[in-house]
Amino acid sequence: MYDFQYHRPKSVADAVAALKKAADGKLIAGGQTLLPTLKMRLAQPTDLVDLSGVPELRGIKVEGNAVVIGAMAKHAEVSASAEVQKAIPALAMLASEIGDAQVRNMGTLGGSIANSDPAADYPAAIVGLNATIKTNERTIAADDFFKGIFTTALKEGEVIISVSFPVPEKAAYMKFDNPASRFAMVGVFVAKLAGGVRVAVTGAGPSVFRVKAMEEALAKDFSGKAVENIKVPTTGLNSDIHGSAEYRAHLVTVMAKRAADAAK
Amino acid sequence: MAATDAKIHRLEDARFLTGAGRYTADLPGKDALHAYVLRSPMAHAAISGVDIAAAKEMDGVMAVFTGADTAQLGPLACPVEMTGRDGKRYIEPFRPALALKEVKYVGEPVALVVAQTLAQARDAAETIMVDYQEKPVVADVRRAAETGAPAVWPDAPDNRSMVWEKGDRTAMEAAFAKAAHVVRLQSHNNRLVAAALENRAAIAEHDAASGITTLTTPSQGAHLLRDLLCDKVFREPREKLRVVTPDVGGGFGPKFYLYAEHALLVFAARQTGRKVFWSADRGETFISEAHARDQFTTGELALDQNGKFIGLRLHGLANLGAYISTFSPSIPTTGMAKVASGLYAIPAIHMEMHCLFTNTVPVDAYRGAGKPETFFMLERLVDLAADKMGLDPAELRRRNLVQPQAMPYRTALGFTYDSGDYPRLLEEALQRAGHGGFAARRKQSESTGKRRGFGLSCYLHGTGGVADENSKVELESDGTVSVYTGTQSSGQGHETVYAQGVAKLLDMPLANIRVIQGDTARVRTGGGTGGSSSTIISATTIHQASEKLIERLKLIGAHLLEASPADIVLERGNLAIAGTDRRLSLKEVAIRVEQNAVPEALRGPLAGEAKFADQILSFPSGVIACEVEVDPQTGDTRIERLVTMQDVGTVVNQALVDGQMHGGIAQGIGQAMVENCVYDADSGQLLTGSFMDYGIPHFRDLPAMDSATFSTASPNNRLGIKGVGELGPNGAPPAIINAIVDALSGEGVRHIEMPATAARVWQAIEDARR
Ligand SMILES: Cc1cc2nc3c(=O)[nH]c(=O)nc-3n(C[C@H](O)[C@H](O)[C@H](O)COP(=O)(O)OP(=O)(O)OC[C@H]3O[C@@H](n4cnc5c(N)ncnc54)[C@H](O)[C@@H]3O)c2cc1C
Repeated sequence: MYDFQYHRPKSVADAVAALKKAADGKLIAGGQTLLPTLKMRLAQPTDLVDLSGVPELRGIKVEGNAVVIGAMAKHAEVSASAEVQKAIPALAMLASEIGDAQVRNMGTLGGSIANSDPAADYPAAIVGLNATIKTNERTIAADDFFKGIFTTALKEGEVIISVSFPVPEKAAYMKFDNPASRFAMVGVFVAKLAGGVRVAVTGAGPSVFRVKAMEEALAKDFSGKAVENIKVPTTGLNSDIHGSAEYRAHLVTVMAKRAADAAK
Repeated sequence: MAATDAKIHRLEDARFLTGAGRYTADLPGKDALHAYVLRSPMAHAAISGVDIAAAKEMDGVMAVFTGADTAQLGPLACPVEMTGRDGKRYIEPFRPALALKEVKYVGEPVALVVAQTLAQARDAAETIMVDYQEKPVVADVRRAAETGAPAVWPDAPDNRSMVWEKGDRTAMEAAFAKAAHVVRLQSHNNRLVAAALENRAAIAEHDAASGITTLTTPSQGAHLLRDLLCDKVFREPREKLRVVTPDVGGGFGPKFYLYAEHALLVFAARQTGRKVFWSADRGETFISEAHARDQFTTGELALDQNGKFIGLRLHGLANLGAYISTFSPSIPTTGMAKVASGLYAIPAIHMEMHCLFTNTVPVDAYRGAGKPETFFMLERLVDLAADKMGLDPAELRRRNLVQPQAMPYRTALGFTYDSGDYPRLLEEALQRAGHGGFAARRKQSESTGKRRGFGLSCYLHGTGGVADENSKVELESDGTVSVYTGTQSSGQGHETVYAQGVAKLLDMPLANIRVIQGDTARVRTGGGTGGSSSTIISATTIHQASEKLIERLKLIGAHLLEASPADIVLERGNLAIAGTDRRLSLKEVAIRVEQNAVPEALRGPLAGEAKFADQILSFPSGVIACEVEVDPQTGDTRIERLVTMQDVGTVVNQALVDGQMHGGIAQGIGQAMVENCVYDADSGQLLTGSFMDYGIPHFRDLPAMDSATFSTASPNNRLGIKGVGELGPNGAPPAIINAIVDALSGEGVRHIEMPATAARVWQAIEDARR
């Protein structure tokens, strides 16, 4: 790890100010992605702005027909939250399957989606539930947030405050683990929402994506049968030592079918 | 708890489980300098210059060493003496502590920076400019074996260190000529890392007054490291170096070997006059600690019309990596040959092994050491033969097992199995595994869209290692007993088993016995721990030493209690006259001897010493039965049942035997299902350089294991012990793969390579359907 200046602001405004002042500042949330990167000397920020002391970023609450989760909510908090379990059990389940207990006790929702790992779980829920991301500057629709491998719509110095997840009629997330990292080889989030059906896939491509053909089929008949023969093209899908693009494409169909059948 | 209780809890566990263990990285203290090893990012390159000028000027930097500084040192040499089929010793390139003019694998040490903090050492290392000229790379063992492949070493024609043969080729060929059935398999035994919890580390400190340097490092035997460092690297008397090994967090083979860092730390401590500390991080471990397996083998099994095995042929390409590591030539050769016959009577066997250089981390023994490679091939061949002949795999095995009355059995390759009851192992394993009910369970799985398979593996181990053992058992003046031994625990529980033997003979509480290991200054000799033989080596020698101590104590007791030595007994920590209440505690005895209250002839240390006087070889054996359920939609495979029956000779401690089986099988499951070291074939870069890409079994991947043991004592040592440590990884992989292939036989799958990840299992189904 290289040397850096450490800041622990008490408000979002102070965090933003600290970032602005820094030559090359970086936010740190749970540190589960950033700290290993720093330890391996793959990044050299001049300043780290720790968000753990900012109360505005905490908490989980139901607001109307949505569950609003603070950016600093830990995976363990989301999975254990009675509100989330009641309103969107699929989201609580998703959080409970991220990493291991240590990671879930430190890693945060905001950190996960800001990082936009192609195999991360949360992006599937964000897009699958058509969530809205609130930052210190604006709100961003789910479909506009993830821009590609490790890239998002966030601008320099923009801080995620919270994410608002509409409560679906029913939803489920099916994850198939990568055998080594245990991130998602493929994860499919299926939801029936007031505004329609969504099918969001993580792990298979450079970034989370929707499968329109499955959404249309499920809109007509919300069952596994409706999607079991819908294949996604292999072009552009990830292919590595853990699985071919063909395998991932195949898993998208299997996981979508199982998610549709499991949705509640 | 009585010392004879076979389920005694491990004495060392309280220490380990409460954080009181003391590992090397706990010990450097605040005054140590920190060393950082700059490693080659290239798999094969010439070095035309290393510029350290800037690094030397950096904050906190105390010294920077390159190959030019260590050029006077001797090689990290291999002590194994063996010859290939041409009668010549295997080719061993000079392995320097720091690269001289070229690098041969990614991770090879190029420079050592010593600074006040690790961060400063790393900062300085980043400023070192190395001029590399890339050379053609070969990382894959099959590619290395081809004519025209890039040469790793100019002096090793066709990349061969050695071609090794064993067995009667003519007899084997005759068997194949008359065979009714022949099955053949080509398979790559996947490359692994040991992944011990504790990374390698070292502390070196030079004492100018005595001229002795102390190297503290995790090891599997302090003496081997001292001897290699003194004899080969520093070319100095062995008194100049003391090697100390504190608690070790997992060895499994790779902690046995001599590494560049051992030599470099001693060198740096002498050069700087300061205590120097180094510890690998996990990423460094992946590219610097010996890898394992990586063998491409062709096996053929010949059977007569009744399914009797009549011939076996093994032709293998073994990847040794870029250099010869401490034991590596013996692994794909004698390590395999010992057990090539499996539990079967096979009259003709021939092996031809090509030991190859590649631009990869050196490969050496890892738990199993040649045996897992052998059994994977043999036990897959047996299943393929059963499939070909339409026989139940259990029945085919039954027909070929060596029978108890044939013991001791000499294999076609000349090794003698000491004792065993293989049919009993097989039948009891089948019984415990509920083999009879399998068909019903398979139906049940199929009703939910799953596939279920049953797999067996019959296997053994041939214990080996180095028995340079002088044990000492000494009564201290406080009445406790110190036991000195030259084997080395890396977590197995030696402190418990060795103490058990002494406690039993001296009839005293376990808590009063301490086992001292891992210090060349306190333990005279030692062969270390490897080859599943530590209890054979140490327990038998400690037994002898205890008997000598007892003899001495009885003479002293006879004098002090005024009785005949024949009437003196050891009873609950006392010397007593048998059948009377006249007794003296061992503490009193020790004090009396110290005060010279005994005649001249009986004075001196109250110790018994002995040299290893038994045979190291034994053949523990086992049968594993495994049942898996496969989800054909995803390839996801769960191990539903795993039963292991083993004969490990006399059981000293059942809990330790079970623990060894559980851990070993977990590692076997790792090899069978997730673990795989992958190099990029063109660049020689390690693609699986962290646990993000190198899969390791998690707790939830492991089944509840049913481990059961019976004993046929080994006639080869006085206690009847056979080894247990390596059984699990030897036997588990083929049982698992046999079960998976069985599950998918209906889909037309005939073989699956390891690791059988879900992706591979799914692909195998797809390929069979096409
Ligand atoms: C062993 C291990 C296993 C894991 N397994 C999984 C898994 O199975 N599935 C999975 O999805 N993830 C997994 N992860 C990743 C984990 O979920 C991380 O916690 C997550 O990716 C990052 O969250 P964090 O809070 O730790 O963020 P940090 O590491 O602190 O930050 C990550 C990035 O987000 C930025 N950032 C943080 N907070 C904000 C904010 N409020 N606004 C804007 N930018 C912000 C930071 O600047 C940084 O660039 C695993 C991690 C580990 C170490």
